Amino acid sequence: MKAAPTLEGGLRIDIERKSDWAILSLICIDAKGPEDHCLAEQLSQLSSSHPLSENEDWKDYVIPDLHDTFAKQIRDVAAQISAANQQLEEASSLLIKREQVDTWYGTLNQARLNLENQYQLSCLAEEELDSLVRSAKYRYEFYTLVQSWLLSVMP
Amino acid sequence: MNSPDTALKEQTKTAPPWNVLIHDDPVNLMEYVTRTIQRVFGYSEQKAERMMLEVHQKGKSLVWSGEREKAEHYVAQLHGFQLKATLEQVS
Repeated sequence: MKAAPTLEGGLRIDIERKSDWAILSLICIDAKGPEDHCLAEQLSQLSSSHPLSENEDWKDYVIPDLHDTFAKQIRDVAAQISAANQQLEEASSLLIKREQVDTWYGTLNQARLNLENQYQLSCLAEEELDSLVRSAKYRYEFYTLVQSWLLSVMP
Repeated sequence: MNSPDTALKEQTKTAPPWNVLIHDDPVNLMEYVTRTIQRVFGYSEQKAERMMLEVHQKGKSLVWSGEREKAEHYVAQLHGFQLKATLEQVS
């Protein structure tokens, strides 16, 4: 897999082998996280003298709104990967347009937040990793790399 | 003696402000935090970078202070960018 910025301010990811699609499709699985996971709710529970999780308006309006925004980011990226994969015979690259950069960045961020929550990757030493966690760490690092590509073209 | 209107105005004027804080986390990239502060608050790159470094080095940074409604709006925006942000009333 290779990536390069486009003249229109987006990013083109070139698919070099079939397994690259499997790697890309894991982004959305990791971003969704466990069934009961809600990032918006989790952010509201941060420790504070004024916890937002106790604010009724926040619970009724802000959390559902953010939850929908985050879910839409994942849906849009999943649809784009799926559509590009189906056109594999004609095209072997995935084009992230300038206006899609934020959506992709957000989805990758959700994936990394979930992996960190699940495995505490930032606290683990390389020798402590079993195969499951090692795989999670490699994905985490790959997503970080794609995010840094996206940051380089982010408006 | 103050009229009720005047008393309300004085109370509003003297109500302690609310702080918006961004907290450090191991996931969000430093450049992204800087850009998000710029996008949400319209600060210069230099100011946003100084705040990002404070988040990184001291664990949190006070990024805005003012009335509650606006502070809540900013925290919601920061959460939308998936940053760890909280609201605190100045005691």
